Parts: sequence; structure tokens; C-alpha cells
Amino acid sequence: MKLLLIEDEPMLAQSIVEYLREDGYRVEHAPDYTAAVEKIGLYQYDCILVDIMLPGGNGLDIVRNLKKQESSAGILIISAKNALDDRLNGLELGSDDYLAKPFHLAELNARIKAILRRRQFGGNQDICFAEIRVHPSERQTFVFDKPIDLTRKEYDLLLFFLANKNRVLTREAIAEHLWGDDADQMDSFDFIYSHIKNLRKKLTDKGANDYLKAIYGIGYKFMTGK
Amino acid sequence: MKLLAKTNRHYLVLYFATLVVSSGALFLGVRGLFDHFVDERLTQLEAEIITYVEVHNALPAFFQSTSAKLSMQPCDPLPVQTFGDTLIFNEIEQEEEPFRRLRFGLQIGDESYQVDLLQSALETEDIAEMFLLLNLVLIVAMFVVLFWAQKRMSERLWQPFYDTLERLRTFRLTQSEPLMLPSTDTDEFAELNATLERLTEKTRQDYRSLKRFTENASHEIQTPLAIIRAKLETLLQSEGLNDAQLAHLHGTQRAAARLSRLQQSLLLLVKIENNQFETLEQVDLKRLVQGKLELLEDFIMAKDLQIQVEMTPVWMQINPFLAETLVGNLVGNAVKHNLQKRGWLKIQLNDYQLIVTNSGIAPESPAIELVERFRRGDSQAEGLGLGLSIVKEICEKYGWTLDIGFEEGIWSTTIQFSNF
Repeated sequence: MKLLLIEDEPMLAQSIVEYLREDGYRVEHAPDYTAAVEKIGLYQYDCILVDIMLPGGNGLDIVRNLKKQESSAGILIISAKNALDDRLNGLELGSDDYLAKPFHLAELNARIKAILRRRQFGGNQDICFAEIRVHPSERQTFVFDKPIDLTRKEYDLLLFFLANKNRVLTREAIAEHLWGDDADQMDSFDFIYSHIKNLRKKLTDKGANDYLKAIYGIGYKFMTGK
Repeated sequence: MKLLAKTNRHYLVLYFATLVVSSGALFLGVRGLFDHFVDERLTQLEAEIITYVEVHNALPAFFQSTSAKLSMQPCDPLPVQTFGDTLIFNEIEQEEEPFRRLRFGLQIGDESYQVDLLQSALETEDIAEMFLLLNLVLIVAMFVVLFWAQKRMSERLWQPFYDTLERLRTFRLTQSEPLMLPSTDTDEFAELNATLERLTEKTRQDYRSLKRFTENASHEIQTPLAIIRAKLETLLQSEGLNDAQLAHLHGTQRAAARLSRLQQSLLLLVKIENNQFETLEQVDLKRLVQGKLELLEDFIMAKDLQIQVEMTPVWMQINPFLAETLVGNLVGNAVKHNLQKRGWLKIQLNDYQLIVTNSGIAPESPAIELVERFRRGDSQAEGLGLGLSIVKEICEKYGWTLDIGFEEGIWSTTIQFSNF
């Protein structure tokens, strides 16, 4: 999978690129509008991450151009928070998703995966990991091909873990993934514990391995290796 | 009390005193003067009588016909000459009438008499009374005229002052134009206006630069913060970190996250103040509230809150983002700052007001102070203390009144949509 990151802040870009490369993506970086247009003209990408505020131009114009060229690339807009107009404009122009800065890298990763899935396989490709299989279009989960009944939150949680295997997911990142801005409504993380406990139980009851490792006081990690 | 009323009160007292004193003086003076005339006439009569008696040794006969009355009676020894006032009963009028009396001794032959010469003082009284009345009328008339003139004059003289006051009243630090006061040719007011213009302009500029600073600072903090957060997250994924290192990293990450929430809230506040949310749309407030309640469902269930909703459909022409922020903050607060178990929350919405009431614990400082920035009801809480400031700012923007109170375990937040 080939990604293009259009982001003018080099330090931020570096972190994003590193994080995504570890997941096996080929990531290229364009630091400004001109470089971005050039790269898009030369290469094919599976997903393009666009910052709206760019030196030399507006990221929304890039989105517009991509749509005009009927590019098959998925588009994820990343932009400063509270800029509601950016969000609406971006989605109207046909971007696949919108992520407000600052974000958790794990969240970005999960969003990219979701876009790629929708783009490449029309959302019909199953997400498989060992004995666990998720059928995203139906929101169904199977362990050893037996369906298990997950609540919406448990399902979202599982997908988030599967998108970020072997990564430390802090409880804050998990909370924000599940509840977005309302995550700071939470005065304790008890709820995440209970959601995870339930998820773990439902998985292991059907004979799945326990991949969810708690990191005390910090969060969780979906461990694929022993 | 108004300055004019105050001045008038002083004038009124002064006029009244003048009225009393001048009337008294006038009355006494007029009467004294007329008494003096009468006395002179009586003295002249006395002289005539004495001369007549000396020549004829008898009283003059003509005397009865004059306006003066005469009465005599034997008396020994001869009385000395005295003037006095007396009352005599008038048979015709059937009432006592005032008379001026001259009493003197008279020797007719060997007989000694006490003679009383009486001259009616009715005229004197009448005249004095008339003067008194005239004086009263004049003074009251003068008072009325002066009062009116002074009122008109004061109003005109003080008009620039009232104009200034009116402009000051509507002046807001956040307004885009400087305070412009009307020009006046009264030196004192001109000086007052000039000073006020200078003062407000300075304050306004200070305020503007402070606001610009806040906005710039908030903006500038954003990027480094985003970098810090991304780097921390990358670092957190490193292999071979021990628990202590992880804990440090996580702590730093949380602090950075808090800082960026703070930055976003401050930026939002500044943006509202700077009128950067001007696009208006018809917003369905009822649906916003319902939507927010749905989003918070997990939290409501976790605390087992009883929800009571009394809403009529309310559409408002406001900025959709601000509407969402407002409703989000209010409903969010009501859930977050509720009791941990068996609490309740009630939302009432109609065309006139939005009221959110909920159970909760008492704040550490008076409820209304919570709208001040960085004020928190509970200093242990994770909140930023900016939520209600943002609500207040939005309310101010749309001219709504915000009222927050805590009484007997119940928090209530009321927004009055006065414009609607």
C-alpha cells in the first residue's frame, strides 16, 4: 500500500511517516502544495493524507483536483480543530474522512485502514487475524468461524486493536476512538476496563487466544506474538 | 437623586425661607408705616382739640362728624400721651374692628379728663394684607418662572453630559470603533470627553493587543504541541521500555493532551470574541440536545442517571458550531458533574429558555463564579474550567442571559433567549 502524506510540519510528518511505515506502508511525504501536486501527477497512491493549511496553497484544492481526475486514491483530510467549515467542505468535495488535529497516531492508522478497506475492496474484505475474523460490511465477528455477538463499542474496540496490532494503545487514545470529543466527559476509565473485559471474555469463550495485554495504568496492547 | 432635583430642593427651601421672611417683613413694615400716618393724624387732632379747648374751654362740636371717634372720661391725675391698638365692636357690621388709639389727658376748666382718640385701622389692615398677598403671588410666580427656566437651562447645559453618559453606557471594550463623544463648547465637558476618549481608546487598544496575543499564542502553541504528542506516541511504541519509563511517558502524554485541550478551548474563546463564527443557520436545538444525550448514553448508563426531558421543537438562527458547543457543554457538564450513583438530570427547552437541572455535589466556590475562566467547582476535577466561560461567551454573543445556581443539591443552568 502506498500512501502520500501532505503535511508542512517536518517533525510531525516524520512521526506520522515512521508510525505508518512500521505497519508496512510505503509512505511518501510532500511538505508543500507544489510538491504534493507534483507527486500526485507522477505516482499512484492508495491513500492521500492532506493537511488543509499548506504553504503555497490550500489542501482542499488538492482534493478537488483528485476528484476531477477521478483518482482512485482514498483521501483523508487532516486539519486544525474547530474548523467546522473545513470538515464540511472536505467531505462535500469527496474526501473519505476527516481527522482533526491533534490526533493519536493510532487513530490515524485506524482511519487509514478503514478508508483503504472501503476503497480497495468495497468494504467486503474480511479482516482476519489468526482465529479472529471480522466482516466489516455486516459488522460481524467470528472466532473459528463461529459468530460472536459484540456490542457496538466492543466491535469498534476490536477493530481499533486489529488496526494497531502490537502497539501500545493508551486508554486516552481508546476513549477518544470510542467516544470522540466526549471522551473527556469521562471521570474514570472504568468503562474502558469493563468494555475490554467483556470483549476479552467473548473472544476467549469461543476459544480465541487472549491477545489483549493490559499495561498497568497506561492502556492495552494487542499482542500477536507470544 | 438627580443633580437637577437636588438643586431644586435647595432652591425650594431658599424660596420658602425668602417667602416667609419677606412676607413677615412686608406685613410689619406696611402696617408700621400706616400706623405712623394714622398716629400723625391723631397727634394733629389732639393738638387741634387742645388748642380749641384752651380757647373755648369746651370740646369742638365738629368733631363727631370726622372719621375719628372720641371718647372721654374723668380721670385724675392726667394720663400721659400713649398710642395703642384696640378693638371696638361695630354695631352695623356686628364684628370687632381694629382701631388705632391715642390716649391723652385734657384739662377742661377744673375737670381732668382722659381722652381717647380712635381712628379706624381697618384700611391699614386691608392694605397690609393686600401687600402680603401681592408679595406671595409675586414670589410664587417668580419661583415658578425661575424653576422652569432653571430646569430648561440645566437640561440644556447638562445635555452634553447626558450624551456622554449614554455613549459610555453602550460602549463595549470589544467594539470595533473607538468611542466617539459629541463635541461641546462647555470647557469642563469637552475636557471630560477628551479624557474619556483617550482613556477608552487606550483600554480598547490594550484589550485588542491582549486578544491578539492570546490568539497568536494559542495558534503558535498548536504545532509544537502536536509534534510533542506525536513524538511521545512514537516513543511509547519503542521496544524495551520498562514500566517506569512507560509511566513517565504516559504521564507526559496526558499532560500534553491536557495542554492541547486547553489551547483549543482558549482559541475557541478568542475566536468567539473575535466574531469568527458569523455564519448563521436554522438550528434545531431540540435535536441537538437529543443527539448529545445519545452520544453520552454510555456515561449516563454508567452513572445510572434518570433523564427527564421536556422539550418543544425550537429552531434558531445561530451558528451551528456554536450551538453544538453550547448544548454539548451544558448537557456534558450536567452528566459529568453529576452524582456517581442514582443521580438525575432534567432538560427543559422551549422558545424562551433552555434549563438544565441536575443533581450534584456542592461547588467549592459560589456557582456563578464558575463562568469565570479557569474556575472549577471541584479543584480535583480533570476539567479545564473553561466550559462555562465558553457557554457564557456564546450567550453574550447572542444577547442571551445565563444564570447558574446551586441549591440543596441541585445544579441549575438557565439560558433565557430574550430575543426570541
